[in-house]
Amino acid sequence: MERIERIDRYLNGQMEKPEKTAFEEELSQNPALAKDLALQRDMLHFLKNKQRRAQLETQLSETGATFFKEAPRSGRVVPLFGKKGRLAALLTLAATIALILWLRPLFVPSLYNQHAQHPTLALTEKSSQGSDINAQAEKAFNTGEYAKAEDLLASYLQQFPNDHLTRVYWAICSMELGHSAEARKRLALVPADDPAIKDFADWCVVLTYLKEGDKAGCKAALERLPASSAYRSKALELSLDL
Amino acid sequence: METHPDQQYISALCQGNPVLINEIYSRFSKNVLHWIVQNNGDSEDAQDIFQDALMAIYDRYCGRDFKLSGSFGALLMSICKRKWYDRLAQKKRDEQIRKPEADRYEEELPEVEAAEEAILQQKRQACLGRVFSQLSEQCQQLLAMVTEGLATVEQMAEQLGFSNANALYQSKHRCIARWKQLFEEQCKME
Repeated sequence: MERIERIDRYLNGQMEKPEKTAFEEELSQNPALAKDLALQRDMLHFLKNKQRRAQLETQLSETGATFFKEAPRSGRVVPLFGKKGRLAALLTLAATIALILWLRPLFVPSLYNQHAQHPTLALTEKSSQGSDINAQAEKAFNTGEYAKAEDLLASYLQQFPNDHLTRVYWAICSMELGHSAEARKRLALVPADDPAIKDFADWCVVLTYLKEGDKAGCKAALERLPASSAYRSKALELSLDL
Repeated sequence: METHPDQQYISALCQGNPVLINEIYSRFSKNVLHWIVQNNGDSEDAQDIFQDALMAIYDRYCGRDFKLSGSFGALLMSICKRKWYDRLAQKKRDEQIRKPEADRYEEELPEVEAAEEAILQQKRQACLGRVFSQLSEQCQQLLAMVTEGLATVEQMAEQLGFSNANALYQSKHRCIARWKQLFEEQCKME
């Protein structure tokens, strides 16, 4: 029991320097003590990582399901056509692919439009003061009139400079109007004291790069998102598309 | 020792970074899938082995003072191969593995050692977990609380029904002794 207690105090940094030095010297000469230390260190490791380990297993299981959908199967390929038929089939296939690529922009939303689904702005319920401006700003933002919304939100923020959630919406207006760099400047002013708003702002930084078509910047911004971000699943989806 | 650039993948696993974990799958899963399918497995086996290998890396490196000395991909592949050999051997299908011995010689020695250490550490952690669940509820709760360190010793003593901090520490050491005894009785690693 005494040995367990000594090892415990050593692992928890509770030994004074002379005692620690003597203990380490004893370790180098006593393999049984070293073996016990290794086991108690592993026990501590188990206790410290128990919860995080379970979370990682779930996370890997979800990610793995995306990457291991189908296994390549080895098998003999049986030709369906003769030489002429194969040539005709190849030409038809090439023409179809070219047509699809040509028409694709008409039907497929851009990567930005797929991922930039902004939540509705709810400003009227915040304050009775300046409620007319609030209602106009809310309506303008939610109907996509970003130039009008940007002006109105600027007025609102002059009155309520600490409303950081609205500051994020103000940045979104700028981003939607094609001013991504300005949007990032506004987002950089959002403090970290409210994690939910900070997560939202960090996600919008990712979108600013996507809006510019800067994939490298977008990837870098995704990598900077903290593991605890509420936008983790959105980030995963986007990184798969990049 | 200089930090290997692939150390970022170890950190990603330790911190649960979704973007880099995604990159781990994106970069390395195809090779593992291909190799396992070539060796009598399917995509489900590959997913399972890949995840298990990442957990072995987590058990070996996270929360410890270890640095990656070689490529993450080579280490991961080496662990996956070993795990698949073991699984096939368990199923008594090892004669169906294609040139497994040749593969063993193709690998670099440091990777082989690192892979085997990671697998051993994973087995130790798994067995520690199994015998931990055989401890009394009070021991499990006490050890978890002391490790979390969210409450003061006095608060923990009161919550767990000990008269003072000294009684709590004595009980903690008895719990560790019991856990250690169970591990030595039930976990044969080599």
